Amino acid sequence: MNCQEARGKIPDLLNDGLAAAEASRLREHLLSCPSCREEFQELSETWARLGILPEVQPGPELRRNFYRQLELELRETAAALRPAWRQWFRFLPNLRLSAPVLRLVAPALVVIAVFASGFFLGNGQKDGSGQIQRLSREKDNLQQQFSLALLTQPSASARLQGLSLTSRLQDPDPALLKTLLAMLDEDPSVNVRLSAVDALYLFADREEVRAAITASLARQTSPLVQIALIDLMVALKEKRAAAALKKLVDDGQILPEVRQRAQSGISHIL
Amino acid sequence: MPDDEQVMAQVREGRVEMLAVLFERYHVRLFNFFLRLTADRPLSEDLTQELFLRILKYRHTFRGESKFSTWMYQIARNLHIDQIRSRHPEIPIDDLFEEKPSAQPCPAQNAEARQEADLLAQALERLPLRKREVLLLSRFQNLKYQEVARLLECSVENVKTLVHRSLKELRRHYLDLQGGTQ
Repeated sequence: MNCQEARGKIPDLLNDGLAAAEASRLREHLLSCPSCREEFQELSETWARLGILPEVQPGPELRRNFYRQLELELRETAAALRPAWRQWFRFLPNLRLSAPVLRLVAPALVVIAVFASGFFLGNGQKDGSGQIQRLSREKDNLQQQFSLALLTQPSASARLQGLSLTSRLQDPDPALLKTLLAMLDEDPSVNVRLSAVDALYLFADREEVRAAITASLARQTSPLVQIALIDLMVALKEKRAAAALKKLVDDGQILPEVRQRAQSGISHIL
Repeated sequence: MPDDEQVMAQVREGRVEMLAVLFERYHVRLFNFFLRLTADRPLSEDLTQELFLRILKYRHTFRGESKFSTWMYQIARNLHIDQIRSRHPEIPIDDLFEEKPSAQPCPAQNAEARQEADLLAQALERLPLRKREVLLLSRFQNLKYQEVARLLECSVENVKTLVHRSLKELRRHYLDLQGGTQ
């Protein structure tokens, strides 16, 4: 390999773009040529130095605005799909009914119109509140979809974001609750497990959630999460948690702060 | 865990909420890309926000033939170019990319008091946009030279030459800012 060829390949070496044999030929040349070696050292040092530039975090507004825009987009998409009947009206001006045909279908049209007006008038009042309910359900559904998409992300900050979104949900579906409960038990990040405790508090009026949270206490190993769950059991006055709390009190390996909190928890619950 | 292309295919097919996954994967990296190009924090946040809106708007144009990241950086570059054009409509865009930045940071008088990272960030700002961009794409956004070449619409050899020259110039600015020591 000559100097010109070697210098042309230095950027490849920096970006891991050289096959092993080629990289080895270049290294051989660099060992034998002081001038190219110096060139390589300067470039690789600068390339490596760029790694010290810190990653700057954007402000929280960016994320908030993004989710707001996405929600708007989802609503617009849903709205565009909904009134399918409007598509039919586009064809109406093109319909040319001949007089005999019109005479035949007219009585049927009148009957349909009378029934339809009765139906719509009778339901008019209900329709307003029904529409509000439907919109509210749609909104809840969108937020559930966002939350679920985020809760399954590898980044802990994304999962935390997903957990905070669940606080806006009125009626979480079983799949989302199952994910939240699994996070409480299995998430590798203590911060995420702690946030899962807070998130589940909002849905603790459901029997299955209370039962699962109670059972989770025995599986927790982090003192922070144990204390958060004990506090939750006390707030819920969950009598079934007494046995799990007693077990913590009797556990010789447990931290004194946790034992103390469990002891005082038992007295509050019972 | 679905890869970027699978997630983007779902967005294209109408599961718009899946864009949240790509946002969480890329928004910090893109914000830093814009920040190093423009040295303007509020503008970089606006550009990042606008980028995801464009992804949504042009989702039907993602064909899955190229990597999602290449397609996304193409949109990012266009966005940045549009922004420069709006500020300097009279200057041809290629000239703007080759031009030395006019606002040169003042040479360090108390270089020893400065953090190395600050010096490096300043040195980077002294590079013409074209050179800064090629380093940002290949060094920080982890793109291969082939992908950078596709983005910049030039040959891979040109990209390598540009990386080589950009590193040399960056080193020179960095040493100048250090006060010529070393």
